[in-house]
Amino acid sequence: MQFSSVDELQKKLRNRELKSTDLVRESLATITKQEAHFKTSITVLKDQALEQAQVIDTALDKGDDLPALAGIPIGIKDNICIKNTQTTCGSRFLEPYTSPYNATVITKLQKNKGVCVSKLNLDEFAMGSSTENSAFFTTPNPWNTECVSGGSSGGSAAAVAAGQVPISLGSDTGGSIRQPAAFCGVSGLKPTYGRVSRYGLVAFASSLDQIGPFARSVKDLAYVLEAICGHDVNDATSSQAPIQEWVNSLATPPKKFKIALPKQLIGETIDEDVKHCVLQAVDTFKNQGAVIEEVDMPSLEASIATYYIIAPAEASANLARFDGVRYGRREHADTLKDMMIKSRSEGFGPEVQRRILLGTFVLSAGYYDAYYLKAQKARTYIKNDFSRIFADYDLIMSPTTPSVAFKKGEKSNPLDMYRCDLATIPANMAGLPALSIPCGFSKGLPVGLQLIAKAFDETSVLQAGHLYQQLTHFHKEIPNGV
Amino acid sequence: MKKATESFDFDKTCTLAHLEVPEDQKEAMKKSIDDVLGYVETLNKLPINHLAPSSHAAENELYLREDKPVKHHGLLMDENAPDWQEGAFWVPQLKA
Amino acid sequence: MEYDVVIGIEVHAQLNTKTKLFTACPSGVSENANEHTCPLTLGLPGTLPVLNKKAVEYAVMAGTALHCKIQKKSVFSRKNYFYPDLPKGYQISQFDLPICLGGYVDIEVGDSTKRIGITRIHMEEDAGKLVHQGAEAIEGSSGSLVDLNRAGTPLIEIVSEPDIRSAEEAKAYVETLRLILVHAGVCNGNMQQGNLRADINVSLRPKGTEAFGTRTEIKNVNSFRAIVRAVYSEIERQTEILDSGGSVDQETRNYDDITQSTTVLRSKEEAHDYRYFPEPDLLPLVLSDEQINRWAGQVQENPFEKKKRYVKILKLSKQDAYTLVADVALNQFFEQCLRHANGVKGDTISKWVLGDVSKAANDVQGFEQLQLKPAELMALLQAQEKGDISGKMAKEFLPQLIEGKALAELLKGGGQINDSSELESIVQEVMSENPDVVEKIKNGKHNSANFLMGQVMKKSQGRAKPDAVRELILKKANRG
Ligand SMILES: [Mg+2]
Ligand SMILES: [Zn+2]
Repeated sequence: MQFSSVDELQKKLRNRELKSTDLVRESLATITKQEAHFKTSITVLKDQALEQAQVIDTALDKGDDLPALAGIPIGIKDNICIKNTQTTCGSRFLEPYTSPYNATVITKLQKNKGVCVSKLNLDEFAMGSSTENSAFFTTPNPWNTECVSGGSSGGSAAAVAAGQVPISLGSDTGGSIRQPAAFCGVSGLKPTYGRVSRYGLVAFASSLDQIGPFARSVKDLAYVLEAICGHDVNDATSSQAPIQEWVNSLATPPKKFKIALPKQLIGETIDEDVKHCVLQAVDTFKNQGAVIEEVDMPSLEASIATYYIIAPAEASANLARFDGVRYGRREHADTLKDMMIKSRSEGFGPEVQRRILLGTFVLSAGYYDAYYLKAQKARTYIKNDFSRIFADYDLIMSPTTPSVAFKKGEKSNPLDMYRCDLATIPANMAGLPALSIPCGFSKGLPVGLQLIAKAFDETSVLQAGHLYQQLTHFHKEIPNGV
Repeated sequence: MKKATESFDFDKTCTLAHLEVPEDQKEAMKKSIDDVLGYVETLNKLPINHLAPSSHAAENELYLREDKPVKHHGLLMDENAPDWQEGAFWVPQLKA
Repeated sequence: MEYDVVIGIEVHAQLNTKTKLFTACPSGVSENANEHTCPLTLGLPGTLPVLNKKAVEYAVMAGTALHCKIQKKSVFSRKNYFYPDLPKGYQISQFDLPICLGGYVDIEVGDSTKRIGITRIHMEEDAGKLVHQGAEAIEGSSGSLVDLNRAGTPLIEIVSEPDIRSAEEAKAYVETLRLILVHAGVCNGNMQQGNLRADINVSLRPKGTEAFGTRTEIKNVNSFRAIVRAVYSEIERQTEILDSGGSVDQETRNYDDITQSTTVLRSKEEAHDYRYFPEPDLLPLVLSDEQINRWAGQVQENPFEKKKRYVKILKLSKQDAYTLVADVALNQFFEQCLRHANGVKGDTISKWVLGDVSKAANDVQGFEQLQLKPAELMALLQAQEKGDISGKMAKEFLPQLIEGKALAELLKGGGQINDSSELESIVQEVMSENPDVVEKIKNGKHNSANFLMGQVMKKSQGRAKPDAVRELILKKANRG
């Protein structure tokens, strides 16, 4: 059943051609079988997954009417808490930690009878673009194992690309869903900030973080989004905005979109091959009657600088709780302060330390106005730029990344790595929904197309993405050797 | 704006952050942070001084909770605690 | 040299909500360590703060009671520092945009009243507690146990202007503040239990000069007596330094009530760099006028206005008036009584409430536990006022009322004898039993009537009206 869609699985499960236990077993077997060449999972939830599948099979046997995701295996990024399960965040610091509670998205998936099969690899505390910052291992790209799967949700993207699971959850702070989705040739959605509860997502940068799904098609993303979204009393930033029936909305043919193409995201920083694929996608949309115009969004060039002040600043506080007092790693020392310093210094990898130090500095006395306050103003500047564009356009289109997946170890300079987030960061700054879908290949590696809509208009990105997938085959391609 | 690369006090920042970077990695770490601080100076060129700062993506209404107690169980305090004694988290002496 | 003392006080008051400031885990004391915890209180990864509406309501009420301007928009910030009693590594507090600004408190010192300005009130969460092992304090301790029961308890921090000029004023300020908060129903006000804690900033300046001297902040002052002692000891210490030509260091000092002196806790160099920034997990707190007015409207007359009213209108002594407001439950009882007074005078009610009723309340740990309805007490006092029962009887009925007997029952079974034939037959009985005494009265020894009266009272179990008995005895003796 590898590479089947949610619709197909759902149909077979309901008419009992397929058992959830068999589906889950297949998923677990694929994870194990592929471990040697593309390892995605930090923890495999074998026993509990099979147990859940059993219960669902019993219900399906009885003919119970179960939700759309019932019995379907799902992979979870290992910074999302599952009760009584290890949640490492790809960090040595949290290696000994077991979460005593479920993230809201997990509770919601369980209500929808989805079966969580594995906790997936990520850059430590979601800080990175390649999973090379995972304390445990790097998840390679299923299309080319010498290349990275992207990050930080590299495990979640690779697991879907390699057919281990049909759907997975990741988190996106500056592109951590869309960039690995682009690198691995799958579809990934970062919903509007506040659309999905962050309760139980280990925080990186609280004002930017958002949980979202990976899948092999936009329609499958819509299924997952419907299951996990909604206001949550445990997240004061979660929105009370009405929920849409996204899956159904795909059936009604979308209106003729008016799409903006920011010249800052299609300029010389973008690889020629990538640009070519995106421009072909532009033609595909134009052929469907869409109006596509190049626009100037000067604020986009400020987004990386803004991000690398705001995100580390918030992270420096978010990661202060990892002090060795109540859980996680503790290094022995004679005094409390030394214990805390040692535990943190041994527990965190270099990239995490770099960002904590950067964030600590930009908030420190005498520098707040020059850095943090300025970045917050730049954030307003970016938001205003988006508002101006969305007054005239339904969507903003761009490549998801300036290039296809890079080689492991290729980007050793952190700033070079940061610069690759050019196209993805702006949507986080403004809290907008953004989708990445496959739109071609370059040197055998997938290229991602990004679509951004105004806040809470997931409908437009999903409809446009679905329309595109009706007309193209890129999302159906399967890497060799899986 | 003070020139970041001149004013960034690495050791003081480490103390504030409760981190200790090994001697042989200090230079590289400091340089990578200096690079980023140099890069973010590009913000100085933006026409943004008149703008109000944004701390959030959206300005929704803050959700307020009713004052109803909920008791939690199965918190795994003892299991997760590095040193659990007498129902509490033991930590080494605060001062040497 | 002579110095002026300049004092500003920061009071941390725990709000008496049922749950913590940012999580539904129960607030308040608990028997075992780490019992009032939850994922958020433990600072577990992935948890998020959700603001308690009641705490906001109480902060608005406190601000109203202290004549502050309630801010329609306030913002929570993170105050970053590492300490084992602070599970998240930051305290969620309010920084540049607090919920209340600019109020005041009128305090009484001796016979004069003085107005102390309040700069601001902000909301924040309390820290947990550390139990130091092998020593009384941090010094010499081998390690500490972290108990997070208190962590996250809602606090308001009330910051005064530097308007206070003496240890006595400092004490009066905190006492007054405490009473106002307790009356508003937002804080339990138990200083020993740490419901209310004061940090005192003290500085000296040469008499008559304007510029402030360098101040020190004294922490850990947890009784009214300790406030006075701590301020005195700090004034003395700073005077000695200044007199000998030295300069006071800006530092945080710890007060030790056993040695009655302060010691350095943190020097200026060690002062934290808190790196405040707006809490990204909480949007700004925006209140509508309607919401503010509704909450502000719940604040009753403050205890000092009440006290003035008792003296002026009820003609009570200052001391009694103070006692009547000092305990909130007692005061509520008294106010209820006034509402049911029905002609009974204020000083009579005060006498009863502060006398027998207070005694009874003390026996059951206070007015909260007292099983006596103010309306019933007032019915009793009305019966006495009308002459239905004697003062003595009223006193005797009180414990029975508290035990739950209905006043109507008590009055029926043994109210004052109004039936003249019943009284006459008792008097007749006593007189026939004591012919010699009757003879004496006949001979003009009217005082001898007292003995007979005593007998009548005994026989009637005190239900006879003394005046009526006396009159009847004299009449009968002289007639017979
Ligand atoms: Mg303070
Ligand atoms: Zn405070």
